[in-house]
Amino acid sequence: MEAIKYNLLNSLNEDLIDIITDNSIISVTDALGRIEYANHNFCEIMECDAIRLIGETHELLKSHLHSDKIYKNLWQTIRMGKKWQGILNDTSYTGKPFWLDTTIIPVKNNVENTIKYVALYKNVTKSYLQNNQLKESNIAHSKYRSIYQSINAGIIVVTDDKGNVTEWNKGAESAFGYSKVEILGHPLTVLMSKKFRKKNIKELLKGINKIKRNQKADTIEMYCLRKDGKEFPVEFALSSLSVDNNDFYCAIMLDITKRKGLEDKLKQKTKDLELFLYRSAHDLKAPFSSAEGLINLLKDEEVNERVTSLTKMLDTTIKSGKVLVENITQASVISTKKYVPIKIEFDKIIENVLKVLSGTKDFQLYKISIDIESYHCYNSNPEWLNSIFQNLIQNAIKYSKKPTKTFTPRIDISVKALQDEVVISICDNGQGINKVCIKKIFDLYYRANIEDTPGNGLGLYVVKNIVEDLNGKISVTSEIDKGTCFEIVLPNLL
Amino acid sequence: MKVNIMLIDDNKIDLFVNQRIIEKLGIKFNVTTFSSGISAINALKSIETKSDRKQTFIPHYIFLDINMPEMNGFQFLKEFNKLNNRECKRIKIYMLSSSTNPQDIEKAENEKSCAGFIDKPLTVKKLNNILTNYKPYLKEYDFMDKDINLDVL
Repeated sequence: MEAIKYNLLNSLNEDLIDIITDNSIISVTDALGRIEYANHNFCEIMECDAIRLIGETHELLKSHLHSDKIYKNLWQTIRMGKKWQGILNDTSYTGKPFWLDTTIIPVKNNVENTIKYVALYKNVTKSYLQNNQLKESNIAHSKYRSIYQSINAGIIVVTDDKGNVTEWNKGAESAFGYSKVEILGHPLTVLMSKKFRKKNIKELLKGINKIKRNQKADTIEMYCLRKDGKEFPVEFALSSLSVDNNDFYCAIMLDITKRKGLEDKLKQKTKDLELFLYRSAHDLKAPFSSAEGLINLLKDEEVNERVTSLTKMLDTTIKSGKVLVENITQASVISTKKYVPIKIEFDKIIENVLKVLSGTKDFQLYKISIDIESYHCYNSNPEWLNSIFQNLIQNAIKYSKKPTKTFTPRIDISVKALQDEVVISICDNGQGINKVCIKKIFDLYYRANIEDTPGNGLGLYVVKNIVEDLNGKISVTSEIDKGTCFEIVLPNLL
Repeated sequence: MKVNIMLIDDNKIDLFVNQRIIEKLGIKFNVTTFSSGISAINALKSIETKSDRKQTFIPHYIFLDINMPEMNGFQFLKEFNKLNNRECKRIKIYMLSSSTNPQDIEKAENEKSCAGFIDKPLTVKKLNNILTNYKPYLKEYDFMDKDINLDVL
């Protein structure tokens, strides 16, 4: 790219012109905006040979016909013979955008009576781009800022590492009742319920420590304090950010008053229902017991055989009604009663259960093995453990195969009390449960064998509920005609 | 000498059943029934004021229902404990209830004036157990009258 030497101004020293043209960006156009001269530096920016530029309309300066405000102003100015100054931008022949700080000086040649426009440029592309980036990020910044400040739904509070509030959005303002001016610089603890302050701070520190260890902090529920003294529950997520080596904590809160209210209502309702169930089941027992007493008297009366057989049937009916009511009571007792765990004596519980069940038909024909390995003390609610054993052993008997000369029904009970858990297994060699039924056996009111065996579908449900309440696990394996095995693992809490 | 038994139950059917069970035991007895704890406690209070003790009914046993309106079994026991005459202190009180609520049972067993807990219905077997259990006390009440032969039962 070679700049064409032009006989510019005769009065100027040639050397001086050379120095200037070598160290600046210059172009000269005629009165209509066609390029008459472009120096080397100008060509470089345009990425084009000077030969191709000469005679062409100066793209950079456009023409007076151009409608853009800046060019209108430019041409108006220079046509009036005044100097124009401003930033122009264009793209080079290869498509690179550039920005030039431009000064255009109209030069009148009195001899030829022509006007030429000498343009001096300074390449400001680099700083222009930088500036622009900054401007963009500024816009983004203020955009996000106004977004989060105007959000009304969420409460956003930012504090510095000392816990003093540094940012406060609209949501926070309406939730807490403090304006931004009132709260900035005050410690976060001002916003906490006095009653729960200690607990809240503990929770908060726990969260911060987790964040510091780069762990995910859980959402925290706490009670907050409004400016007017009202308390309200919030759920909030804590996150930390670091700007220029300063740590900040951002708390995004959600007012959960409504949810909390519903939650409490639901809890109360559940409690009421459980109590209702318990009371109803309990109260139903009284008339059953009375009827049982009457039937006992009736049995002793000497009447004919038909009445005797009817009495027997009535007796069975009332007894099973009593068992049902008893089971319902048990099912409801589980969730309603608080208890103090005491040492469980498995041998006594099992012995007791077997005593209760000893009235079952053919009970003495069953081979029952009991294997208790108690290395560690296990504390729990004996009533519940009793219920577990009773229901499972009862089931083992209920679903056994009939004892014959060659077949002895077996029930193997084993308890292993280890340091952290107790493993209870109750296995039989009975009818077994088929694969379709096995998934449903723990469901409320599910009964596997409707025709032959009495039951109310509560037993295993009760067992499952107890096991779950004790944070344990229950599993069952079974094979048709071979037998069933229940295994329960209960964690040792003490 | 007869065995004096007081039955307290708000349920008339239960009172009837229990009375019949006692009859079946084949012992000589006197039974008084009360359908509320309040009337029963008033009757016991009146023992103190009566001069002729021989004519007065002093129970050896009380079978007490737990769930009753106005004054339940436990409230009755509370009032009973306030009585302070010698005769009353000797009375054996059994709680009789269809409640198998372990809390009730535990509470009953912890009551110093309660001798035991029986779940309803009362049967000849259960009653017999109670009366034979306390044989050592029978002498005190002079139950060894030849009319009563508890061993046969």
